[in-house]
Amino acid sequence: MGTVSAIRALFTPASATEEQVRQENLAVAEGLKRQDAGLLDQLIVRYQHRLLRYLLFLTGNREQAEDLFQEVWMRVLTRGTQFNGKSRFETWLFTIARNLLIDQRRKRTMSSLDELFEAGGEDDRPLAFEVPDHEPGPFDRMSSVEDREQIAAALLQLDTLYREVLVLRFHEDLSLEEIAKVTHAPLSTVKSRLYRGMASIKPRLERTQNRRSEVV
Amino acid sequence: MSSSGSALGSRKPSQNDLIEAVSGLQGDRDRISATKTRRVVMTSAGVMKDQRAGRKKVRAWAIAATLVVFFIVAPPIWWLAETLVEEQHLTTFGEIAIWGFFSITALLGSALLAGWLRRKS
Repeated sequence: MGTVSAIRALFTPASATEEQVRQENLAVAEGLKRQDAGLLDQLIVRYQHRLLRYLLFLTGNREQAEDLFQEVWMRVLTRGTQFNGKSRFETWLFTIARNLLIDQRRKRTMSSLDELFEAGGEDDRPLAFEVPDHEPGPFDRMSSVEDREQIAAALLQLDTLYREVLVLRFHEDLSLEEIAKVTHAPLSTVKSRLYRGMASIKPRLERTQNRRSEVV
Repeated sequence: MSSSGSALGSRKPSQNDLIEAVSGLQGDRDRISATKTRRVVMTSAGVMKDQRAGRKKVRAWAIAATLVVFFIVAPPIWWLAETLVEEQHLTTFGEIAIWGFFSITALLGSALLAGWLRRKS
């Protein structure tokens, strides 16, 4: 009995938080169905930095990111009924942002992000081994302003394919399953992109670190 | 907000700007953009609300018109049709043509009136 209560005690806080998140998502879904302007206003304030950062990473252009930012929230207003509250709101939000960017690219250049991603070809094959889901990543270990800038610079040099997955995983703290949902890619592909992205960013960061230590 | 020079020194200004933005060093600019978006979204939400209210009003009018036709206009029409048929007023082509003329004129009049009311509103 003691073991059971110990296990229960271990899991209760997490499940309580999960339940709270679930309730919150359902409340957001209800509000969006009603097109509740107050709720929408709160959501814009809450996600302003995260969404803008994600769009900046994807587009690499401030003006374009700001235009898309507005479009995303307009889409949330008009298609709010499509969010059912079963998944996290941010997953849905990032999916909208990504789809809008793909639409925009398709309109402008007759090619989509997916096509750009397909350029990964062989590199986008699933890996034969598992990438740990909740390991603290390189971004978590580097927290000063300068470190953040260096990570950002290194990320911006990566292919969009890998950059997006790294940003969603380490900046936006999305699970691998959620990233798969946002990117419409199989879980194995997400894992491989994450692994290859990390492998690609590591030498860049090391080079920058070395340069910094030489300067110091 | 400014950034550390050593991290950004060797890059183009536009690249520096982008790095600052994704590193969260342009919070003020983010907030301005968000405020603009909030204003646009709130205005659109207001317009959509008005449109919804308008649609509701039209629906209410349609229901009211249906009820009026069903309970007020339909019984005399029914009575008229019954009288015409029973008393054999619609037996010749001439009679049918006269009734047709009146019916079409009434329909056209209604359509014109509805159009005028719509333009007026």
